[in-house]
Amino acid sequence: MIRLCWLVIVAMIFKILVRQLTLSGVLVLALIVGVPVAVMSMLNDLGERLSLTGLRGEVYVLRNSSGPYLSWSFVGKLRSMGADYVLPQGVVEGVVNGGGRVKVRLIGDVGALRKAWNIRLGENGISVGVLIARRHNLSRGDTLSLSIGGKDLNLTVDNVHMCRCQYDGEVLVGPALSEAFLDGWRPSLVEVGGLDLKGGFRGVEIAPAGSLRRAAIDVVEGLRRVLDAWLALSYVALVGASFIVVFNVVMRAGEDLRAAVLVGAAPSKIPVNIMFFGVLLGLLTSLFGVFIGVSSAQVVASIFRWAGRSIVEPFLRLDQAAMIVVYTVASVLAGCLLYVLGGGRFESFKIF
Amino acid sequence: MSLLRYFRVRGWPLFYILVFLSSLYISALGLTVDGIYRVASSETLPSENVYVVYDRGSSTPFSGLVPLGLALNISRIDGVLAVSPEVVVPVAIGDRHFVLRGVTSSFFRVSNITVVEGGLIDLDRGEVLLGIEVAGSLGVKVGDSLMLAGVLGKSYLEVVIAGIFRSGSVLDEEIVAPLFIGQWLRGSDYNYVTMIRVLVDPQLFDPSEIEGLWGRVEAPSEAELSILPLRAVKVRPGAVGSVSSGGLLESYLRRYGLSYSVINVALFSTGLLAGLATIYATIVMGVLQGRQSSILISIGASSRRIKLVLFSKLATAALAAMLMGLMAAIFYTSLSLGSVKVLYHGIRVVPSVGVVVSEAVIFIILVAMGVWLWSPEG
Repeated sequence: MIRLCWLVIVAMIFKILVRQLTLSGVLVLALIVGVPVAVMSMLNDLGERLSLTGLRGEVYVLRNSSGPYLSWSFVGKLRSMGADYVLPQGVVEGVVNGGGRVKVRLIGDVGALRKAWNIRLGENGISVGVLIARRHNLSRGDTLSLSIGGKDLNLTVDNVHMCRCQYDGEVLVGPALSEAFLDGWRPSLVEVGGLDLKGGFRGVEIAPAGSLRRAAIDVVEGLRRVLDAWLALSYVALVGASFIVVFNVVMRAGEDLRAAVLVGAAPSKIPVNIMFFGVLLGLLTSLFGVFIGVSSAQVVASIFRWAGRSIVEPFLRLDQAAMIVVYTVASVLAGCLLYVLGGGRFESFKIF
Repeated sequence: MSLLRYFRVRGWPLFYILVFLSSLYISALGLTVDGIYRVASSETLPSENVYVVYDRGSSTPFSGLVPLGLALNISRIDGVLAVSPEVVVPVAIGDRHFVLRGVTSSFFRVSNITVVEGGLIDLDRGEVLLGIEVAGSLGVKVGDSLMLAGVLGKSYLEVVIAGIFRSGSVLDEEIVAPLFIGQWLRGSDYNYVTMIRVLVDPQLFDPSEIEGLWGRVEAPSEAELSILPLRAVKVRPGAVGSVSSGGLLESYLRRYGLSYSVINVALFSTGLLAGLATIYATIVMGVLQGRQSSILISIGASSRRIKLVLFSKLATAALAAMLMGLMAAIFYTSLSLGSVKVLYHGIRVVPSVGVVVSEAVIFIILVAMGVWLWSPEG
């Protein structure tokens, strides 16, 4: 019977508090949550779009992280893994007769070179990049006089290539000729296409090239960190704002609470009720905030679509919504607790 | 005046805390958005008397392509002092991303940079200059080599660091390389660049002359560009635009119905909305003064006069709390955004006089609204 009376009194106090909860109170708190939620919804779509960009065309450049060369057995291992192509290459510096240094690239697989960069190179041939050809006035069939490591060589230009890539500024040498240049040469880097190298290899540095996806994710991650900083601040603001909302609610309910105490409610029960009230307020705030945020983001996107500019299709993931609800309830509860702990300092608490 | 002296406001701590938190929230939001805008707009290297020739059809200032040959035509216009064709492209060094700017020797006439270590690049060779912040973050020095990997194209190359420079602008976070290296990493044709920056004499230069450039554009004949396989290209009327370097981002944002003013208005409105807590706090403060105001009304004070007195007291307190909130926001945003990069450049938190004044206005409006909504008669 006593327990039932206690429950009735608790319910009565709770009702008194809830009755004083105005829409403006919830709106204030919901707006603090809603603004970052709107940005989060837009960023989700942006992140998804950008992360899909450039999924194809990613290649990896592998180098020995502790020494200048990779072994041929490692190249063989890469080939056996089923890559689209494996392009081993080494670099030496040459001096062109008549002045000027030039980068000479020893190519370990002409088939891979053609597949990756569409450059024709014979096993025994040399191909000169268009920039080198123009600088030294070379064309197909001309002789290129080079000095490499003290050796003077006269080479016939088999091809002048233009790939609009790094090889345009280099002289490419076929595998058989490379052996003649440098007996027992080993690759300093290997380009691999069509293989997932996420797992990596011990002692090998892997650099992805052509990875717009990674760069885009980097951009979105930067923006996400900005948003996280902002969200953290929103929760701090929520603690303060919920404190004032509870303050206002209890102050407005002063007369009714005084009456409740007169009919037998213990003043000590009121803080417990405030905490219950906080949970309800937090839930209402978070749900309303998520609604405001997502719908305002949709409105903004619709306005842009209507203006003929489709930027993003905002959405909020379920786990993000759940996270917002949990943190918002926790922040509002913290605000209520702050009120309960510090309430005695204010006039409204003197009634108890 | 006497009413002002005898009116004792109760519940100050409550009001201070709330206004402080509102100000912290609004300031942090404003400083962050302003910081991001500054980063984006500074990537066009805004400087006095520098115009940017850009691709009008592109969706961002950095994704367009303009014919390199226009550089020659532009250099013939009266009042043009230097023409710098540039390719701006993101590159990866390991798992980190930076902006690389492919340039010709004219870049050093248009941009104000000081080499602090090493020397300038030999534009014929695979050498690069590193902004002081890039060098610092990578922990590299002159003579070291770097593996640059393209992001927009699948090119990659090893380059040698020829020098490290300081500019006092976002260039400090960039890598400067010969034009063709930028083109390789961008995966673009040798005949095109991202933008052409033009240093002009404002007394003689007429920007409309650039807008009028279209039709067949001959390949430039400078010795420096002679190694590039260039050809004549056609430029459609209206395809190329020119704008002062500070206004490039603005011209793109305007297409989306945005501008710096619109962003400011949106921020101002968001500030007002987020500041509802301040209105709420003001009303609560009014209610807390209920007994005092009833006594004052009973001895003849007008409701309007009491509101004015409360407003003057609360507005002063709000300004003080707002400034504290602003300072806390500067500290918080500097701390939390210090390492964050937007578009591969760091965000700089710079509170402007405009931000302080607009915030002060917002808080005075919020307090005025709160006092207006409060009724001293209860």
